[in-house]
Amino acid sequence: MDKGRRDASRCFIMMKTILPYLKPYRRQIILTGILCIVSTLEGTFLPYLMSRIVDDGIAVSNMSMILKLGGMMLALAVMSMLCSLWTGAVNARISAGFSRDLKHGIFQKASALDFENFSKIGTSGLLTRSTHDVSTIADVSSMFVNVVVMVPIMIAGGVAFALLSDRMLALILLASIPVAFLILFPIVRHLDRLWKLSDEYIDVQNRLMRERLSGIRVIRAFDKEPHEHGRIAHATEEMAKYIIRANVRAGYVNPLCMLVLNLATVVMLLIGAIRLQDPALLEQGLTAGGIIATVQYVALILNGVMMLSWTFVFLPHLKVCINRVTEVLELPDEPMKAGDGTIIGGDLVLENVGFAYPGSEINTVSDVNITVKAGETAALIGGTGSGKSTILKLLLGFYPPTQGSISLGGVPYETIGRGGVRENVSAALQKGMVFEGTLLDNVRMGDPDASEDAVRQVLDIAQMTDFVNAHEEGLQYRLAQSGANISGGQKQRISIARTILKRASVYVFDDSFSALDYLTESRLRKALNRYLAGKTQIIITQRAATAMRCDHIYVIEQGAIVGSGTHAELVKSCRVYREIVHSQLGGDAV
Amino acid sequence: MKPKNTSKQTVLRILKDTKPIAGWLILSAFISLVSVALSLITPEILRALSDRLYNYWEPVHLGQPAVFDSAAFGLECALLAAAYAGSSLAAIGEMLLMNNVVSRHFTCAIRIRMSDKIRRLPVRYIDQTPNGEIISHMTDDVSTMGTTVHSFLETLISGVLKLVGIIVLIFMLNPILAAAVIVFVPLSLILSAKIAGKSEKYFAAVRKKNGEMYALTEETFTGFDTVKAFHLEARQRERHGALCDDMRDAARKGTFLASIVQPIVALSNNIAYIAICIIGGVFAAKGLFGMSVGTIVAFVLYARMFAGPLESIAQGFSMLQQTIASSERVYKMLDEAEMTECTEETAPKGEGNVSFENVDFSYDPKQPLIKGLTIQVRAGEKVAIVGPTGGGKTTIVNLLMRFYDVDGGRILVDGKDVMQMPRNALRSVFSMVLQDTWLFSGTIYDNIAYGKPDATEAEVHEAAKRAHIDRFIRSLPKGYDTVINEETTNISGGQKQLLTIARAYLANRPILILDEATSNVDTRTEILIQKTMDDLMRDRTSFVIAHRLSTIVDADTILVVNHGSIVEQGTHKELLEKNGFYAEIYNSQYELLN
Repeated sequence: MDKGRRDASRCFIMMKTILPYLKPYRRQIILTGILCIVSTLEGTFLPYLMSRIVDDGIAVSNMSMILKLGGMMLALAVMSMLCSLWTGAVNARISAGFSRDLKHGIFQKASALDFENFSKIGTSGLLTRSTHDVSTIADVSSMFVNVVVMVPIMIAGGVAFALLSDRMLALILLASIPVAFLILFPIVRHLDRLWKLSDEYIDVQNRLMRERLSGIRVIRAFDKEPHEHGRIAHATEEMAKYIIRANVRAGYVNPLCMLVLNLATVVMLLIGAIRLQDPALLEQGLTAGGIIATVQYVALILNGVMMLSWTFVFLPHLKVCINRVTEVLELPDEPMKAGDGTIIGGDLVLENVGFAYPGSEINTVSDVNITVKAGETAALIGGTGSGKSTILKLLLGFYPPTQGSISLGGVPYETIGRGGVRENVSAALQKGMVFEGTLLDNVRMGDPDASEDAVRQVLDIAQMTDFVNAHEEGLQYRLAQSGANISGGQKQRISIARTILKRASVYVFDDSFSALDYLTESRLRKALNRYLAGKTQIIITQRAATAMRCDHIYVIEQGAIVGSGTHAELVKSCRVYREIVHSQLGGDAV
Repeated sequence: MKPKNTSKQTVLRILKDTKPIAGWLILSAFISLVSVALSLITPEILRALSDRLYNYWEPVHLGQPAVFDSAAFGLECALLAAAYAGSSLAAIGEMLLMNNVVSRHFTCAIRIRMSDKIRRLPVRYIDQTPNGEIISHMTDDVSTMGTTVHSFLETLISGVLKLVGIIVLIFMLNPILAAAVIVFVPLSLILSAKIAGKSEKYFAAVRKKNGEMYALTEETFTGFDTVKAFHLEARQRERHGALCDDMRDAARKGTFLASIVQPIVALSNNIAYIAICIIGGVFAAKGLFGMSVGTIVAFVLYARMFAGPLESIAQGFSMLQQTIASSERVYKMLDEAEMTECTEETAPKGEGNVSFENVDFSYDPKQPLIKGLTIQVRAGEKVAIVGPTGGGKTTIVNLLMRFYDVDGGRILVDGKDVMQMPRNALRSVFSMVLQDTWLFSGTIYDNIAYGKPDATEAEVHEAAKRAHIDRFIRSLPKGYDTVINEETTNISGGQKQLLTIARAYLANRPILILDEATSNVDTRTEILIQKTMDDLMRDRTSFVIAHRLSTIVDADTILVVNHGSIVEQGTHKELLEKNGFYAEIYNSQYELLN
């Protein structure tokens, strides 16, 4: 009961988010409905006309009647084709337009989400939704609408024409529908589950194979190839079992359908023959042609039933897809408040900042106090999982802190607004993301109005001049999607160039030097310090050598600041820092 | 398009691979023969039935006396029902047979052969072929082959037989009507094939744009933090919108063209139907050619049957193209050159002496990598390999383990050329801990015991203790039986690394390879691992690849690798005095201090 109501309200929400995407096409949708009705009706007319040829033409040798009826049939067939063609054109327009709108709608929504909501969906989740799910929704719903409009008309038309010749035959025709449905539906019902199951077994085989290929060295080192081969062979055999199960189940549908359809034909013929021997019925207009035509309606109608039951196979899948798309569309946009374009002062203060990721009860960072004066360089050092990157996310306003407050130039973050914060804080992120486009484009993302000279200057600081000169396209060098054609270190350096091109008051570098060798890093840092003189810099790192030179170092472990001060102070006072330095640089650095 | 004769060879090879199931295929062919024969009879019976109905009704209708032969009609109805039932049963039987035989003994067998092939392929092949590609050959391509073998009989035997049967039967019934059927029905198929070919052009455009959109979406959301930090939302949206628009226009044209097919097929089928009704009707009315109402009915049915096999044969041919392409990919993998294995049953003594004598090697013949490398490593020594990332440090490991073979010179282990012993014998003296922690999906226990399946429980626990991971394992709810798989999140990267160290420890072999074993681990764990590894290296020959120089200053020999070749060689002290590349890297980490 309760579940029923919940389902109903969920359905309502699903409809409310999807229907607006259909609204621009409502005229076309009504039009296809009408066209579909017309062409189906025309189709059902043909066997009736054939029976008239038999009864009114052949039986009485009326040639002109045969030709007249034949002409009518031809006219109907041509009209029916024209209607279908028109339907095709309109349908193509609806489904292509609807898919485009929905895909773009999902993308737009996803790019407007905040991190909390985005992480609920994830990149691969978004990819499935905007490709596979959308096309399933478009395909299955148009198929469903077509079948739902067509089949009842087919049935109504078929039964109506059958009624013209004999009531009993019409009744049998009508009765055969639930019988066919009862036989087909149980077979078809669990098909989607079987398909899913066999897909899962295919995944198992693929996973084992991927595991084996990625671990080929270890496997061979331990001479375990026979073992791995055995595992895969076993998985393949299992997989075959489930594939057979699903295919066999689906394989029953067509022969059984044909059987039901054909046996219904035989029954119709038998009863027709019995009825034909009743003179009273003959008086009422029962004819041989009528019986023969009615037999043809059996095929027409049961074909419709078959289509309908196939459609039901896909309905659960359609529901899943709509639900997944709805999950994205109903999420709220990130509350963005753009800044007014002024650069705020560079004093950065984190006061008792604590943060727990949504849904987590444990604080990832807690009681963080950091004060960086304008123009200073501070380092944040700690191991993986210590909470450094979380602090970066707070600094960029990706998440609001759950405790404490952050302020920039004396103004609290809430007042500046998320848009304003991101205009004032420029960050080079760990991964060193680049986008498909030219090198120039990628750097200019930091400041769309920057001149080429300015771009060359920041690239030079990022030690990328050699790279620019090595390619004859220079700044126009095209980077592939996700920077597939350049190395990790080059990505990091492009990302650094972009970051410093942006005019901001605080510059953050999150592990941005990790893929660079010490020599390149050293040159880059020197140039960087000259260029960013007077600006606030935050350097997040795992490398002691990177942190050492900063004005102030904060050591972070398990989400808490366990030490702060200069290198010399920390070596004396902070055990964690000493350990880091010792492990990375050996004893003499301490 | 491939030259004809290679396609032919591929087809022959597929046929050869179906040999083990040939008996079943013949049985299945026989069943489909029965099914075809039964389905061809039914219009004939229906003709007789219709004639009986009509021939009784016509005189009665015109007020003349007539007799209805109920017994004969009933018998014919029973015959019809039996023919229908028999044809459906035969179809079901064939479906069951083919599904089982093809899936179990054809596709499954090929997949197992491919998996077996991988055992004998060189690491070079696996390094050079994207994993996804190998996997897709094994699933999608083999599955395409299976589908074709499956539907081959249906298309070829039942399709052709049905076609021939129908043509013969309708010409026997009435050649003029038969001509109408033969003209109109195939016409629709030719037309629809033409149109479908046109629409394919647009669908190809849709697929291309879809791929671009997929990549754009992936790029935008894997770099979501950068997008947000630099306000790139609008830029990405604009690009996405443009791609979507292109895709919509192509999809609209393609879908429309594809949707034309069905009405055209329907129309030409209807024209055949109408032609039969009119011509048949006129003949019947005039009593020409012995035409009867039943013959018209039979013709309508044959005309409807005619399209089916034609379509499936056409489909079969387009499927065949795909299958040849798929099979060529599969056979190409099965034909890849295998590793040559040394048959001598000699194993290294296990003392741990290793020497490289004048070794030449390159991954790509055009770019020589290692030239004339000579190193002498005595049992128990520690060799460090250092240099910038991507400089080729791992190559030395590849050669030592014979994942790749040298192009010139030789590598000796305990005085024997590694080429003169079987690979598994050579590898049995090495333990490896690699940067990428590789654990298979299975229990922690099995993962540790991977290198020594006959280890006792006590030995496994001891190895875990030595790797400082025993306590952690015991703290897990299922202890050593905890299953590690893709979803495992409660084990950190560092802990996984410790498990691989325990694995190496348990394997207890005289030579150790540590390839950047601590690079993905945080400092605290690293200290722990470092101790374990020092333990592990004691009394063993070890090759250590490291990016943190502090860990290797005590090595007996340091090899400095840059741009793929050894640029310097010596002890820490010697190399510092030399003041070359090593000294530059070493000092650069301190340069940041000043």
